[in-house]
Amino acid sequence: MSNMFKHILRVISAAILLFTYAEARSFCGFYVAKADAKLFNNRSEVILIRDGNRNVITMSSDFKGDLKDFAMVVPVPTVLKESDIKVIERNIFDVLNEYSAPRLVEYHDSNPCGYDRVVTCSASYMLDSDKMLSLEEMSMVKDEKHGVKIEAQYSVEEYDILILSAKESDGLKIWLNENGYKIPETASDVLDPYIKSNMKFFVVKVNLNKMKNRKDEYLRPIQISFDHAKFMLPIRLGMANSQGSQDMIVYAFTRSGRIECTNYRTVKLPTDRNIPLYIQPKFGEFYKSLFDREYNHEGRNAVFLEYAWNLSPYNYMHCDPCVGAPPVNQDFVNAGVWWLNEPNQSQQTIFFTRLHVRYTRDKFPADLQFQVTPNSENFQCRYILTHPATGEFTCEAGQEYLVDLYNRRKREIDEVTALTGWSRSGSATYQNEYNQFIDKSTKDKNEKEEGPHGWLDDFKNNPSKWLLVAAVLLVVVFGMRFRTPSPAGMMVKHH
Amino acid sequence: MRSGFTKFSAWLQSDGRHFQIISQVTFLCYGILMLGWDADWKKYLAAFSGSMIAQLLAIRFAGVPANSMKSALVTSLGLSLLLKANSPWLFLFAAIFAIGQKFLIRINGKHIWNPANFGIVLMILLSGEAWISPGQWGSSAVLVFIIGTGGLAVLSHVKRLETGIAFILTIALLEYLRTIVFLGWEWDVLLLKLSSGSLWLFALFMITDPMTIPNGRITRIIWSVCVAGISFTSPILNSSMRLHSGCCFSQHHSRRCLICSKSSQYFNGPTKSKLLLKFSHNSTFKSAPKCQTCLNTF
Repeated sequence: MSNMFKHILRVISAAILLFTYAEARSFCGFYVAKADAKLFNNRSEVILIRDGNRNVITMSSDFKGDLKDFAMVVPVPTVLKESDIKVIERNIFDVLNEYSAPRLVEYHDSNPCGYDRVVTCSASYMLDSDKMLSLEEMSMVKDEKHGVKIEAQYSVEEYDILILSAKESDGLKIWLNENGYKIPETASDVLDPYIKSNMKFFVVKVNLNKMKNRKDEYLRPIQISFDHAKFMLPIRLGMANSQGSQDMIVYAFTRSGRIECTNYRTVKLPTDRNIPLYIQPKFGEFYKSLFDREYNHEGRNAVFLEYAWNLSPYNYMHCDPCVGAPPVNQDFVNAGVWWLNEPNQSQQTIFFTRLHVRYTRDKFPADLQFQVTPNSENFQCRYILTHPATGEFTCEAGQEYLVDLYNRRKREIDEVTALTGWSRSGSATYQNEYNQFIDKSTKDKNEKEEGPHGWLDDFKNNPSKWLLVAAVLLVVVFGMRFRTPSPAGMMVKHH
Repeated sequence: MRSGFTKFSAWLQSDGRHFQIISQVTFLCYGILMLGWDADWKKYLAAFSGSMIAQLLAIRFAGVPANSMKSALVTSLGLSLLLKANSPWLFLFAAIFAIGQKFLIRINGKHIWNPANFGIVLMILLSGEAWISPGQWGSSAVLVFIIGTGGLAVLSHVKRLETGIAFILTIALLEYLRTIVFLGWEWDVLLLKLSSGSLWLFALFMITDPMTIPNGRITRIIWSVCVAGISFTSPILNSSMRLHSGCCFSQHHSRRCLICSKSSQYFNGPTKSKLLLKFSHNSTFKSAPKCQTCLNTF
């Protein structure tokens, strides 16, 4: 026992030493452009800001029909004051999207034989977004009956806004229909629970006269603020008039750390994977397939983390590496991060989370509930291209490099197949591209480089979790071996 | 084959912790391998080494029996399953405090708090860098919970399983009344709420802990229904918070009041937390009304 005791103490002290080693490995690749702009159809974007009980929600819409037909109904927990409603410029969504979108970066190998060529790299970002908001297509007239009460009525910029409360869903539905809002048949089932939860309805339409004065034709995002203990996004109403799946990107800001979903799983997307060079021109497609695959793999009811970063002024590294200039303070203030306007500098911490949800009625029956966590770990979806070295490879190290390159490219192709489910057809040329430079003797020596597949591949690619599980099992078995000779034990022996 | 099965069953029955350890290890492996949980080995190492070293010290210097190492395993696994924190140090501290309080804070020779839950609540309250993820299980995990533990529970003749069942049934009934009857949501909304892994973890492993529940079967069931009722009706806890605060129940007399201390992450003032801990410490099994008062105070 005494030896064991000492041994454990040694393990612990080693562990303590390890903890003090701070991991600060930064990435030194480059971004590369090449992405499809409109990857996800049926997509909406929301900015969520939460601190204490204060919520700020900004909703973006890419409504493309006749503006007089535009209407939006959002359940809100309180009657909003006029000062709680703002209209902001749409470009903030572009800024946030461009900053936090999944990215493709590239590396360049150096020539082991010393024949390097100077390479210049382009820098850009990827994955622009297509935007869509869960909206009800309706038009608007005023009235008061059927148990529907107009709690407040505002005209904010180009929008006319009503805040309604109702006693029951049928009344609200009749009221909305009588007043020209075409509520889908299925919506009334969903209205009822919101009414009984004492929620109000934030109803928006476009003021066409004011809209005429604007040069832009698009609708600007609406930002609402309110205090409420619940931190949630009502998605059920938006499902009422939609058959298929809808994608939603949530940009969230908090003072302390990441937000995560509390009633569905929040899952990180695969990141830092090496992929073949030929993916570059179709990176958008690649990411879309990857997302589809992950979405199905996780049971189609998970929320995905695409980006998490501490953007506080004291944290100088705002991206790793940066696509361009990251959003500035004013962008965050426009997005609704009110505490950045406070005079106290020490209060100006800000953490950014980007979540991607693809929801359908059958897999997301309930609204999304969130919590703010102190989790301040940075995360980004990053995929890596590695360009081969240039020049000649006649030296021994060069030949070894070419064999490594061949094997690496094989792994890259395997990775893409695993991530997207794409077939390997056409990938042989890529894998064998540099084979012509490998001497026959080197080739023969390395002939039997054929990796295993299935879970062994998973183990090879991501050994840490398997090793961790093995270690946990070992520790448990070790712990179970501690026995105390007891009278009861003696009795068992006697028997 | 038959004798192997009988031996396994006998081994399970020989110590209630065997059932707990096997189930918790299974969930942890399932979480890491299938649900993509954080595989940061340093945090797990901290949780296991902290509690096992602390227990080892107790074995060596406090004359505790050596097989109590199994309790340290249960605590380490509990921390690994529930606690999330920014630094491995918090896991280490949680583990040390969790085990340490078993020997330092005792009433009538018995420890008051469930060690893992004590560690978790302490870290959440004191550090501000720790949290719990009620959504980490997803809804598919519930099958693993029910099938996996159901089979093992029957095998190991787990007594007091009725406590967990009473808890689940009460929550299910109340949730049914609220979600379907009152609010008018569809059935799948109810099912989503009831398939929370956190809820099942609590029902199967925490509320069934023989050390801290009443001895009589009827009393246990009544007590279990009360715990479910209190946690359900709490005005300050929304449904998800309630479920994960459920995981933070302490044992023995004061468990219900730890619901309050967990919920105090909404109320970060140190005074309130202190008062709360003091209150929970002083409360007794018969003080359910006090607990309700405690809940309503906020």
